Amino acid sequence: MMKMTTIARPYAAAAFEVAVTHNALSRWQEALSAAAQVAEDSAVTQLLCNPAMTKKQCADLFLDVLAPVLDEKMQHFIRLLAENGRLSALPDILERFKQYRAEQEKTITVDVFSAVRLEEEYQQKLTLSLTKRLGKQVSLQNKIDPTVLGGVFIQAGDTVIDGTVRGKLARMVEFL
Amino acid sequence: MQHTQLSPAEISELIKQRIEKFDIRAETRTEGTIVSLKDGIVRIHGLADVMQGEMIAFADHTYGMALNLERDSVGAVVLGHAEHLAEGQTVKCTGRILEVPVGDALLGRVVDALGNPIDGRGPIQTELSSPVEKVAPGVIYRQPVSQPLQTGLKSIDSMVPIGRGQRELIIGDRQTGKTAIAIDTIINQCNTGVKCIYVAIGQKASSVAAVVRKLEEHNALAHTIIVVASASEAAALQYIAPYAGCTMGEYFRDKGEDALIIYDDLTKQAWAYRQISLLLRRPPGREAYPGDIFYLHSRLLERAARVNPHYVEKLTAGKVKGKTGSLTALPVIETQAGDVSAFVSTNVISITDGQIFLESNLFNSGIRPAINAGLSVSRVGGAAQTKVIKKLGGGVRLALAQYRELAAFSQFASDLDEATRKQLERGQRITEVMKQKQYHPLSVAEMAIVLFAVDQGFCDDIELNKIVGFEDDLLGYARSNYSDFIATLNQSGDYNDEVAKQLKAIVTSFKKTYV
Repeated sequence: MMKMTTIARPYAAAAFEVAVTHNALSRWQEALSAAAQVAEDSAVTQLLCNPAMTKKQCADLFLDVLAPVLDEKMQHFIRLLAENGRLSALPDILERFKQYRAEQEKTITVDVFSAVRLEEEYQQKLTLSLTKRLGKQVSLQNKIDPTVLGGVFIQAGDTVIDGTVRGKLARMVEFL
Repeated sequence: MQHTQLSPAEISELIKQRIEKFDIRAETRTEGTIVSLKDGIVRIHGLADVMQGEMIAFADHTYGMALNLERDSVGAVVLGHAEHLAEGQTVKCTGRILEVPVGDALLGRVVDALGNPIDGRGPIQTELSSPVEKVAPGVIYRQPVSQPLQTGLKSIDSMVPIGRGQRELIIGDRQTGKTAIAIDTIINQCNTGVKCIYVAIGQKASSVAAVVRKLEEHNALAHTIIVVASASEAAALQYIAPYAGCTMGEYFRDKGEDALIIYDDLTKQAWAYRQISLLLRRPPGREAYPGDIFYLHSRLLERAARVNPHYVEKLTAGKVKGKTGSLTALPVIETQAGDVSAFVSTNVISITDGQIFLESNLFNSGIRPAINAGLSVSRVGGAAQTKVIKKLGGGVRLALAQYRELAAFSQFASDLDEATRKQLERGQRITEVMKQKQYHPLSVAEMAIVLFAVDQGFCDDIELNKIVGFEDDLLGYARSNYSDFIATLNQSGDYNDEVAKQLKAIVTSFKKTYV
């Protein structure tokens, strides 16, 4: 399935700008996350596809379910999405919003794959050196992957640092 | 007893050396995921740091080239077959713009568009590689074309001479002898030190095999590189094959040597590029070609040039001084029903320094090479001709032009005045003399003898259907009795009274023996 990134971008950008102006980044992110969950629900996706549902009905559905988390501006946002028929893009909007926020606050989540669980001390050292290298606040997530054999596989967005024994063996095979 | 195989100790020593050279540091790279895979075009999500034209590594040693850098995805073409790729696979950036191996080790080999050998004679022993897309030498670094490139074909060398560093287009319908001219030129470069590159784009593999066999028969393969992107290969490979061949040719040019490259043919490269552009959703223009179809050919042909000694010295870091380098290009374009006003044909005609027109009706009436002398032109012309051919060939072109003017009157041969009849007959004899058998290129001296004979009227009393035989016998006679003179004339290429006297002596003494 083709990603809806291109469609989601203007909406996410607009939502982000509003959130920044009102200094309400976390609240907006929570609201978007809840709305995205609703949009991903199988019953809701069926309803959204149904041509018998009018735009107002779709908007009302979301507003009713999400009433406790949405403030006025967020309600307008949902109505706008319903009018343009873009409610199904909510998960992608949430993703984009998170990216914008990460860029703004200079944070990044880094996945570290290792064969065995890394000790606290080692994780802290990694966090420090990665922070220095990437220039952003790093939050480390250690994931276990036995196929790594040894060493670590660090994934920060698109950049990948392969310090695994598996990677070295593969390169050695090619080189020799 | 001599041991020609390596002992186990030597093998382990070699492996140890290789291991020591191996870089064991962790590798940093940019990765992405395949989002869609269709018709050889791959859409990738991620790859934030990818460069335009960069080589991308797919699974299983397949490579691709990043062509469309869009906001949310990267469009890449697969350089090869895409059967083993799947949506969701990870792809890596290699950090290198597409490059191919270059060097003398490629001579005599048949390679594909990426430089991998396909002739079954083992890997190519070269460490050098060079990017496929390069900027052509600037204005300051160029030198005017003044050295001849002998094709060995009488009609070309006398009327549309080609110089080293020139671009001369060979254009004509299918089956008119375009490739034949190219092959004869390669065969004629046997002992001249000119390295040849034959790029086969979109051709049948059987045709390419026939070409390789012919070149091998005439001992021409040793100084030739053959780059093949046959019709069954991916469009991306057909698109980059000419650039890859050009890079291999530039290696020789930048060393102060002379090289010749033949693109057979650029029409198929334009088709392949059109296919890729349409699949990448770039807007189609005239004849559905993309907007940059002119740039596709112009940047390729601009790299064929003659460069001055300063450039060669700069690029060889001072190792080669005082020598000019050149890369001559003979692109081939196939027209449909003789229509030279089609889009791609007019583009390439405006880029090259002249064209050789081949016509089907000339071919069918037995005039081979089927060159239309009236429409063919070489914009470098006499500056790139040996003196002897220039002197003797000048009359030939003029006589043929006059003959064409009067050709309609040839039906009334008996009712015409003497002068007109003489012109007609001279024109007919020159046309006969210009015919040449395939794979029989002539040296400068042999050409001079033939041109002298026809120009000075020694053929005027020979019957028209006996001219070809007369020429063969004349050359045979000269080769056996005057081989020293031929060798000297080939060396010097000068024309003076002495040479003229000798030529006259040869022809008159032959005619005395001719029945």
